[in-house]
Amino acid sequence: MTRYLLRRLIATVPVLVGVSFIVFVIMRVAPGDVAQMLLSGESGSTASPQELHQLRQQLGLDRPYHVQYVAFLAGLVRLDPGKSLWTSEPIMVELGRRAPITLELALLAVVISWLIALPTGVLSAVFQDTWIDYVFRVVSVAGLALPAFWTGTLLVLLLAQRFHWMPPLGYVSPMHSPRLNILQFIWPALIIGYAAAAILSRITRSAVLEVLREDYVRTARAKGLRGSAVVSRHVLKNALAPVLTVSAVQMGNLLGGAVISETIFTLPGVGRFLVDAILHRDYPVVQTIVILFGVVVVVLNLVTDLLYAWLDPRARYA
Amino acid sequence: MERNGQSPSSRRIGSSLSRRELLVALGGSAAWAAVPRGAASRAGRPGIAGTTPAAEAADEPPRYGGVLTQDTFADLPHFDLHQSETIAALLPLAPCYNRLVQYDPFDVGKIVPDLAERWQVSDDGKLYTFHLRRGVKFHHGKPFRAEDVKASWDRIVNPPKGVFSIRKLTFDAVSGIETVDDATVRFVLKRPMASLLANIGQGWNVIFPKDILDAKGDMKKDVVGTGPFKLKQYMRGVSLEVEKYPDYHVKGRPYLDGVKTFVIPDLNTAVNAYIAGQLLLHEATTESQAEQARQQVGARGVIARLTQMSALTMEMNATRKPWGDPRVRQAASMAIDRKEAVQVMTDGAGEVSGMMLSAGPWALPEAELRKLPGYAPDKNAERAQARKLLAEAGFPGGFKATMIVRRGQQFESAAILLKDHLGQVGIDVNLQILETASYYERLAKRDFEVYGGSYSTAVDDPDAIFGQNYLCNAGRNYSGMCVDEVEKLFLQQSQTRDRGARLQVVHQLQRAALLNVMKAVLGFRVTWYLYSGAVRNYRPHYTRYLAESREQVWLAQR
Repeated sequence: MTRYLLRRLIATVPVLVGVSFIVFVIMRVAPGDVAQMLLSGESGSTASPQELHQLRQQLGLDRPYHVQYVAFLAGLVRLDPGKSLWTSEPIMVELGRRAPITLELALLAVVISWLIALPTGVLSAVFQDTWIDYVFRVVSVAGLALPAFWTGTLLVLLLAQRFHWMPPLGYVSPMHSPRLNILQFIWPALIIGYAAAAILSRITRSAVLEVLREDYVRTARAKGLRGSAVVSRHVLKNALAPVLTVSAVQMGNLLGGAVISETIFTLPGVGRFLVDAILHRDYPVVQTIVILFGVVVVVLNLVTDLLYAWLDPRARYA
Repeated sequence: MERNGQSPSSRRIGSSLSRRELLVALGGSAAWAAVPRGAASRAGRPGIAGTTPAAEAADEPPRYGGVLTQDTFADLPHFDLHQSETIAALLPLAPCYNRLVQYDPFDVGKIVPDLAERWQVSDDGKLYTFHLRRGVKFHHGKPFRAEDVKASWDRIVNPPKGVFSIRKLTFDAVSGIETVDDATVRFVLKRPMASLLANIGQGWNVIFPKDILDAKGDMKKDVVGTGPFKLKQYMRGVSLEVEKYPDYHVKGRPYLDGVKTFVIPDLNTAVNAYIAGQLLLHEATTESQAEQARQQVGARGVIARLTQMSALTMEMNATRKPWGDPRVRQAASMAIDRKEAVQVMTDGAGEVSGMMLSAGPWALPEAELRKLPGYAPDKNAERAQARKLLAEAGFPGGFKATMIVRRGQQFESAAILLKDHLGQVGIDVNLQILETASYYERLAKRDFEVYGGSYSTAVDDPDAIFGQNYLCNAGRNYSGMCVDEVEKLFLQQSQTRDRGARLQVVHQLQRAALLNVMKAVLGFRVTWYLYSGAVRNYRPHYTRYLAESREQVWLAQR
């Protein structure tokens, strides 16, 4: 197990280096740079080419690409990716401020996705091919089909225009006011959670259907056990393994959802930090966040594999 | 076409109309113009008609307290306004600062004292002496002195290494700033500059404390001014909140306890926040969103529709063939049906214009405009003439060109229209839509043939507009054109202190620029301002860069 873990951890290094290289190249190929943006207003820039050159020098953008790349990687190894070119703030400080927001949003979304997916998936399977099944299937397919930016915008419209209410603007920490914090987070979490629940619900349905056909379930029923007891004690327990693993992998996808939802619901999380950084061509910030997302996805995949082995003893790692 | 003002288009929505509102509704602009205060958009004043009629009509006494909530589309990169050019920085920070002189918040056609309580101009127009207010204190407790003005203005006019003074070129005529005593400061000019006060009054040109500038070199991380509000809290990416400065030098001001500016990048979210009552003020939105707000907010809100100091343009790269040929540029300009363009782009609310704000005092009269290429009333005849010009230039069958366009609904729809119009004289345009960062890079490198875009300036003044957009060394002269006559007339108007005489030269200047088609100006943009009916003493203007301090704003009981 330890050897397996080590092997997997070592394998993540080239993956992350590859990610960092790709994102570095993409950002440099994309036209526009942060110096231009810093000296521009709503109507462009009145800065002279000399001033632009001077600012680029000041920001270190005039250095050869390979020097910039190696310096960035060296910073990452020291866990210091440098400062934002846009705000001159240390990136780690900014990430430290924003990461808890995205994490809270993602965790809340996971909880919501479970609350939606488990009952709908189980009921869909138990009442297979009845109207209950059809309704839940339509709901879950809708969740897969509707993009988060659309449902998010629609939700804001509905709240504001129908009820003349909107989640409080800005960000309130849960330490400061748990009630306001939940009021802010519940809506974007619902949007992301609903999208994630769609897949989970389908997986739950399939897994439960599979287990329902097992001999031990038939035996339990033959012994006279109530239907609900069969499902809760025997079916659900055995069907949860794939649901859990998919859920863990989905945490990575939730980060993508956060990028959109944080913008619509004005939450200053990592997702919005990334969007702003891309628009400003804030290279080190974009590179750091993409690598961070990469690390999260790699780690979640690893955790998923380990979790699977723990849940299903038949799975073994050499 | 109304020349010296614009139709007052703001309205309080709802069933209860005050006498003043009723006049507006019944009599339109004529009745509105008769209202003495707030109706600022008459002769010589490019300001927009007053838009908070309820407050003045009822003669309510100002009420103290409350926090004004407003929004901006992006977070600010830093706090140093001298080094900024985005409204995202100015809007939240303006309440913390003063300038030497300011624009009257009720009528931006007037320059009124700010930190300078009075000033004198020498006979030759080359020496401005400002007498400063006494008893003014910065937010960190230090008294305001002439040395603070000198330190601030030295870095605007002659920035030290590492400081990027965005408006340095605007003050090219200023050779130095001198302190006479603690309360007197002089601006020494190389040549007369008729627009000096107008440009000093721009929202960006605030006075910073010398001690902080000396210690830190910039104000990127400090907000210390003499303004009516001081920084309370800044949450990056979330909001910037300012609170009342109790030692503010203007007795009885400000009325508000604070101003909170939220960062809301999504326009839909911002409008919905206004509808939900979380924003009391939302500036610069689109017509469809204003309409949504109107339907939802009803009598609780006010909507103002204003032409902005932002011209929609098409520009041709004169350093590339065949655009260096004035006949080709004239033909392109003649192909454009500006009336239709304005109709499409502003839903008929904008106005065809030359270089200067159509509703402002410097605009060319319509009769003059009609004589210039692209403005003739008979579009068919003008397009026939354009085809002839192209044939003379060696393109009897037209030619192909690529136009780069900034992403955004307004720019894109304008570009589609331009493609159609240019096609009618044989210029086959291929559109290339770019996001903002790529678009500006292409402009800065002059890596384009034609581009569709816009230009805005903080003030409706020829020095600012031509100085930033049309002169040979202007930062936004992306087309690379350099016209001697324009350079000469620019200097002449800038040095002419008599307003009437200057207006004549400005008209000549515009004619020269339009004949050379330095930019094909289509019209000026229109935008909508939404604010709660409780907001009093607030006036939206043709630009958002002049009077955003909120010193005079107060909130009625809601």
